Amino acid sequence: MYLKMPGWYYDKKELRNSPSAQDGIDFKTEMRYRKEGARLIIDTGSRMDLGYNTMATGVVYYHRFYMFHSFKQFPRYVTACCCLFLAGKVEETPKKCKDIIKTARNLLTDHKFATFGEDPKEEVMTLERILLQTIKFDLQVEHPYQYLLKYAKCLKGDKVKLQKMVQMAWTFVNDSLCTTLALQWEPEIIAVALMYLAGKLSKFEVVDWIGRTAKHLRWWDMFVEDVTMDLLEDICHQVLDLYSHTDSANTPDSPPLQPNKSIQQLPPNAQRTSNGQEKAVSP
Amino acid sequence: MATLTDGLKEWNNVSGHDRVKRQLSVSSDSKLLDEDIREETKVILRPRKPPRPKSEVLLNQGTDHRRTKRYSAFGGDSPFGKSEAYIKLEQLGEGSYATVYKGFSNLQNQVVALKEIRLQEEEGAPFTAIREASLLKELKHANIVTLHDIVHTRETLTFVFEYVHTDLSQYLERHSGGLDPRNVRLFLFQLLRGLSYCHKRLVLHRDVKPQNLLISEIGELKLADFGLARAKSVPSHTYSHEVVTLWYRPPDVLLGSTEYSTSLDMWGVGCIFVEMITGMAIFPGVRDTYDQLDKIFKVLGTPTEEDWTGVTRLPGYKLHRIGQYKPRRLGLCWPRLHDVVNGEAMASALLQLDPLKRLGAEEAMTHRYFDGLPRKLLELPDEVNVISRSVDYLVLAPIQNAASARCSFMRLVMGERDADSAYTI
Repeated sequence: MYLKMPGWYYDKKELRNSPSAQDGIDFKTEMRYRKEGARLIIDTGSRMDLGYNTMATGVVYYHRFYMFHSFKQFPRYVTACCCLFLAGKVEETPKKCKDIIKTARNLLTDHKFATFGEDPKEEVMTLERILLQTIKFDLQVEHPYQYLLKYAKCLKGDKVKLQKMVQMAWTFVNDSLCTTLALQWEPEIIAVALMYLAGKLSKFEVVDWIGRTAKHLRWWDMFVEDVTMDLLEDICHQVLDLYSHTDSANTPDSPPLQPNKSIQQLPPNAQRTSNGQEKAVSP
Repeated sequence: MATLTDGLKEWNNVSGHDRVKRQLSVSSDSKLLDEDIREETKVILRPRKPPRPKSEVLLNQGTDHRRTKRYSAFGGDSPFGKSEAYIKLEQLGEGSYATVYKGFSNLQNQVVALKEIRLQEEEGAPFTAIREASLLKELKHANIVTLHDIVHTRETLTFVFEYVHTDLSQYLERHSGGLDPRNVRLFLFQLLRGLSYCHKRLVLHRDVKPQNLLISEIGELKLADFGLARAKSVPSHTYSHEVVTLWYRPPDVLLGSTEYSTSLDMWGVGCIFVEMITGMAIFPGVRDTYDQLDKIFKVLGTPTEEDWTGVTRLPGYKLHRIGQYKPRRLGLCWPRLHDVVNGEAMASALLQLDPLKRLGAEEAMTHRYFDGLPRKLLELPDEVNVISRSVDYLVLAPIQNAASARCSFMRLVMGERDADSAYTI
């Protein structure tokens, strides 16, 4: 029936058999389109002072939309703007359609902006209806951020190191939006995986945590059940892959994500929240 | 802040490779794993959530893939989501941002309520509508109105709801002088049940008032109009620029507090509880916020820092605009509260000025005021109604409507049917 909840999670085989794939777009190109659209949502949102939740929600809509439609039929930057427009309404941080377009225009080359056609606003507004139909009014989306903060509160250990670890995990969550992880795993699992990664990289080993019982082998056993190390590693690698792609030769019209760039462009809210972390982290 | 490049260097050290290798599989990269975990690593199915359903796009593969993009975008062959499926009948009323019509669904062959929202030319679907739809999709409960379908056209967005024949406001008008205490108890219990379900999901209704509580022919109560739910502010005007009533708004919000929590809805519950017993709105403010506060403080007393920490720091707490009153016993203001066992205690627990002291929905369901109801009611699954036609827990059965008498009859059945307990409401 129409209002039945669709499943919003896909396995890797399904991701490789997306509408774009069926439309003749190779996987690598599709992943680049996904990344570029997500980037535009994040960059446009940051410039408009939108919160990290609004941007993340927009990106999730974007990824979901292209599990039903092909990039050939719906140009990615128009969709990106529309997703941010809708996410603004849902997260109660509404922005005017024309302002979103204006901001995005400044971030795009004329060539890329040409996909918006003669009446960019009409293009985005028309797409809103298609977007709502496609995602079936399933607009409430959870993100890993809240879980990151929740989990961090329970971890014991050196506060400065913990802080550093959480900050790094936060950055990974931001960057994970450019992958299809949100189409694969629940936000809780992504949060665990990226905290695990940040712990490894910042050399913060979690040895004790609040609420530990004899049954718990790892801190995340308290929050998620039966998550295998294989799964965590796979999630970490999907994020790390973002930084190792340097195939710019194939993609002259869209430079790949630079690791440095991605860090500098942390949404201001993300930093604010992470700074405000001190309180949250200390028990 | 740790930069990612730092991180990557360290990562390289950890993994022992010069560069980060792409798609290292766990099995090939044992350095990532501590030996102890490795031993413990078992491939276990994750029972935390049910197996994932296949996505629709893959199930429908190949069928409507070649059709035009607009066609498939709008639901393809599904009869749902199409305006032809519904016949619009008479207008039922104006909601907070929409017009509600009675309608008929050709799909389900039943009467439905059509909530029609006009789209704004400038900004598309109004965000109240968008929020209402997305929240209602997640709220499936016997005491919350069911959303059947959504029809989205260029000019309008229409929500197709189950049709419920009246609301508590009309019901109170029809049964003036107050309702039978036993029915009050059943309505209150259902209201708390619906709200407790919302509050557990951190959804605040924010506009709890008799008009938004639908009452079915058999006495089911259903929360409706989630257009304002979980909004960050409490609005002063509806979509059609009507002023939102202040009668059910709690004193903390009237005084300008913006720390909304579930206690916001509970004040309205208290007001409605007493209103059902007495038949009259208890705080019918006529002018503005301060008139509304005056009505409240005349009964409950003007709050001070001693009985409500932080009240004097609220932006609206202005001594020259607030009258000084001593609290009165609720039973003296509304003597009919004494006709009900523990009625005054319940009213008083809900109508607490300090939001932190106000009773929560879930706690309220186990208040001694409900002692006469079967305990089993607390264990009912979400989708099961308290009121039912079958001999279950409680039956509110409509007996033949006599030509003139519009009233329904309720029969309360606890454990066994007892014809003598039938009474009029």
